[in-house]
Amino acid sequence: MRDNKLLKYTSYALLLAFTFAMIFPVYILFKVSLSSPEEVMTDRPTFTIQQPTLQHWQNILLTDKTTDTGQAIYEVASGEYTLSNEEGEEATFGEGESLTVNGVTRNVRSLDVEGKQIQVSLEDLQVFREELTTSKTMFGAVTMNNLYMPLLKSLMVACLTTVVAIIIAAPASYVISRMPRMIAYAVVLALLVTRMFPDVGIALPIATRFISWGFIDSTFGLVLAHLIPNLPFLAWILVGTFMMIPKDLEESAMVDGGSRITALVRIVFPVAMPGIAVGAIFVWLNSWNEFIFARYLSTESGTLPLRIYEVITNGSIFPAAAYSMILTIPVIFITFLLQRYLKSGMLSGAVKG
Amino acid sequence: MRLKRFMKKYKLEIAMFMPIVLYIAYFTIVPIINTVSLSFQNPRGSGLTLGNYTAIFNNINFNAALFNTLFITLIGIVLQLSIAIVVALILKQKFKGRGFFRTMMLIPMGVPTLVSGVTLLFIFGQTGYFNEMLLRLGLIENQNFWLGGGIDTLFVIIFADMWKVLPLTILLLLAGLEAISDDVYEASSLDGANRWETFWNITLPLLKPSITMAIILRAIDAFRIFELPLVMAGRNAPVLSTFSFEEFRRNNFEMAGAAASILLVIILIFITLYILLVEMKKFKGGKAQ
Repeated sequence: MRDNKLLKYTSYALLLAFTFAMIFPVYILFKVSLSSPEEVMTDRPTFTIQQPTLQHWQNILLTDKTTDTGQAIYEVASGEYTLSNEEGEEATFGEGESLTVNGVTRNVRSLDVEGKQIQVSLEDLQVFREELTTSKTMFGAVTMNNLYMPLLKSLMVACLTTVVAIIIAAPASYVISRMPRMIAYAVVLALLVTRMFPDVGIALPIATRFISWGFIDSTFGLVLAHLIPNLPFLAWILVGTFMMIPKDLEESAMVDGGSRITALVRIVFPVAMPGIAVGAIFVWLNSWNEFIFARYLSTESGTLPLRIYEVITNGSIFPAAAYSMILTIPVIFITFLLQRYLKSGMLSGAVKG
Repeated sequence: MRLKRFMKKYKLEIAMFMPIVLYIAYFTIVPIINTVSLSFQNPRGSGLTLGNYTAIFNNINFNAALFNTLFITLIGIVLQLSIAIVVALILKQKFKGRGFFRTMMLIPMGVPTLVSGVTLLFIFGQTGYFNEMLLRLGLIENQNFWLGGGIDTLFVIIFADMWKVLPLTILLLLAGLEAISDDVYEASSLDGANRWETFWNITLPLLKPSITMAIILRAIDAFRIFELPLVMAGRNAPVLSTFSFEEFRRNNFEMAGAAASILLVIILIFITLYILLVEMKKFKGGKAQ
């Protein structure tokens, strides 16, 4: 019996420690977004919020300055690129050659030559900025307060991805659910497998394709990309839903004189609606969180996750915390709401955000 | 003729099913093939070459990326599974507050991966809260620099990944545990087995399908890890995905393709394992779909 008690108390202790580890980071995120800089930007940060401030939230919510895209002008002189900023700092390197700065090699052919000036995107600019660590101010400050454009883009991409995914995946998963059992099983497995491919392997040729199509930075292009993981995901979820709808239901509707299509539209899809809604919310969430495709396919106008990445790599931790909270709130809310619909297969690549 | 009749009979079905097939073919299968063929292309000139692969295996950053990816996956899975089994076993017991713990445990699942990277950056930064906690507990005297590269950084990334996915792993194992009938346990206690023997001889073997599934699915995700190393350590801790991305950004498309292809081969191995060990078993057990 003593053995039992000991086990019980160890279990409780372990569980408490574990739960603490699960909650603590979220608390820190919340805390940083509300803390005064003195509590955080110090050698000895405090664990409690001693002087709560809404300053960081006001900064990102109210002062929505447009971002200085920071386009730098590169002078071309005798086949060499010279990189300079307003303060007169310069760096020179040759065309077609590799530029090695601080041990990192970069191929120069990525720059577009337009006449005598070269403009690079903000993305390239940041890479250069990271590499030329000796002159961090090389390209001037980039204004960080910009919430609404990325937020709008994220919302639009997520909603459009969801709608298109339903339109394409719902009919397909109905068909799969009515296939012979073995074939349906194989198709569902194939859908699961396509979601396991590495995103970088897919995004690389998609990005080069989109560059030539002019789809970089476009909402439409990103929707196309977000459909790649989400179509198989949604179809995979919906096959189960349609399988639970008895065949008799649609057959009886057809006996009453309706055509096949009316039976589907009037009977089958409405009955499947709750399942479709749950799947749609997961798709929305996947797209809202998505980072890899967005990173490959955006240079200047990014989504909210890209914005967070941009801000955190610039070391602005307070806006990063506040942006992160905005990105997280819908996800936490929906996760709790839909927790009983989580499936084990989602372990891989689905609702991992 | 047969095909024609089939097409005619099922024209509605075909019309409903083809869009997704075409989409996946054009936007997933073709790109994968493109990536692989890109990796054999000569960056200067035409023709096929193995040069990208010899170059990549001589690249210090790539070797670091490969090592880091394997390390994160292997150590990460061992740690995750061990912790998940312990927590799942505890949560399976009936005790006061179980519902509360189960709900709290789900919180990291509601945090986007990118945000979990940002948050753990706050915690594991040099003047972050982990160092502060260790200082206050008197365990260290100077702040450690956790994210400067090396094994420390890999462990921080493993922790970050674990934090994010443990809830799902635990749910999966918990479902497996709850499927084990109480009769088995009763029989074992009648035979006089102690807790440890019961765990080792009954629970673990019966939980094996769930564990196999968790290991393979987690491995596939761990090999593809991207956001966390990128946000938390940048170039200090390259992994296969971020290496491929950096090469893409430098317009070294062929090198990016080679790195992505190597990652693809690793993942295909695990997909095969998944089909053989998880799906086929399930199917033989008559539980397909």
